[in-house]
Amino acid sequence: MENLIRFFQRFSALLLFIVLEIIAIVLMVNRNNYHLSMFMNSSNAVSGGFYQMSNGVTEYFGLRHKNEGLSDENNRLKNENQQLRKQLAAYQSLKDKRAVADTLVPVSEQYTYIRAKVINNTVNNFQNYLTINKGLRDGIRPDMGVVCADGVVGIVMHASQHYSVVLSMLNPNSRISSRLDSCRNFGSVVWDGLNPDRCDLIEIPRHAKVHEGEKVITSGFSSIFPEGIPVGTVHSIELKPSDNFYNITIDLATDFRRLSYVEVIAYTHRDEMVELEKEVKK
Amino acid sequence: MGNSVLKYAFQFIILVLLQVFLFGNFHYFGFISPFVYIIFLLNLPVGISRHWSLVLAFLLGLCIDIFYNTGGIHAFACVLVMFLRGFWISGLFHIDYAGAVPSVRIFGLVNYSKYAIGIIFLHHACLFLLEAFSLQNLWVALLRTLCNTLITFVLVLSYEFIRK
Repeated sequence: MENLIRFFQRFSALLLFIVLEIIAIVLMVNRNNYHLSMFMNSSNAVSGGFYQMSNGVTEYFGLRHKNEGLSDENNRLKNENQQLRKQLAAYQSLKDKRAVADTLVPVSEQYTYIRAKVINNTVNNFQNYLTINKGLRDGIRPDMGVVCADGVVGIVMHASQHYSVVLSMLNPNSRISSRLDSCRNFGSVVWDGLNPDRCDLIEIPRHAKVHEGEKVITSGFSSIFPEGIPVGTVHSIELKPSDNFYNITIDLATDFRRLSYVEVIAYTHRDEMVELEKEVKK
Repeated sequence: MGNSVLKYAFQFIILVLLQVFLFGNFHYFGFISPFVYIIFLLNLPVGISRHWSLVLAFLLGLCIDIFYNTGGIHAFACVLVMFLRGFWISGLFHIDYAGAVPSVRIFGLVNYSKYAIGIIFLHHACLFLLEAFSLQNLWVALLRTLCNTLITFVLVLSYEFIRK
């Protein structure tokens, strides 16, 4: 017994070292554990509040760029509005001619958008995350898609009452189902951890015809993103003779260094869809 | 005694805030993310009890982890560095510095640089390898380690000269 106590006294620093390192490893491995994440990431009240405060200061430095973005978007929306008016007029005249059934559900009503502000964002780590200032209270749930005016941003990972952590596209764990604009072949967009302006589009089969500069958009084959949101444009194409799939590098549509406002996409029938898919898997 | 505890507590808080809100925002160079909070570990007195130094290192790493959403990576690196710091000092200098606070004034510029670069390199290497978590990106992790070790070291040195 005495020996045991002496042993502990002699090696207590080593033991403490080992215990602390084991705790650190457990935290590392359980990073995605829900209960742990409630207080161990930047969606908690203290660090979320700090980030919001610091964002209140740094926000002013990007105002010029943001204004330009807003006026661009304004312009685009005006044009779109014009076009929609024309279409509506055409539709009205058509409807007058022969009563069209009212049972058509407009696609746009399946999705609602929740506006949120990015209060923390990284681009130069291997695994990047964003923190936004809306949470469960505002209707945000894990696995919702996040977009900005330019294109796709990421997917909500954790949500607390007032804040959420978003898995950025600039994270090797993120896979966004996307397709080429012209040929409708779909694959996944993944990040290789190097350049925050580029991603790889994988799983495009070799029989597809790909051009440089072609648009890449979301495929709509999930309940997360609707179809047709810009992801990027094809930067370079590589096809080795032995490969069945292309190696495509794309320029991202979103400038992750300058993110400020984003929209979280809530899919109205998501629960129904997930439920249905679960039943099939049984 | 109470005075120096207060001083270190203050330094702890200031360094965490500086790291998270100032040095965490260096987005524009892509590669560069210096971890200046390591100044706290570098400047703990040599004679501090090993248990306290380990616990402090763990808490410091944990604070950074919470802000950076990195699980326990920083905590792991900090505790490792803190554990090896005593061996590093005695192995490097063969002089008993018990009770001294590591600084350029006491160690001399060359010796302090050796001491700081060793600690910073070990800390950054541990951090970037754990973050990559695969050998696929080994070269990138090493390159990042080297670049950032250099930058953190320059920042630590400039802090030392300001303090003087």
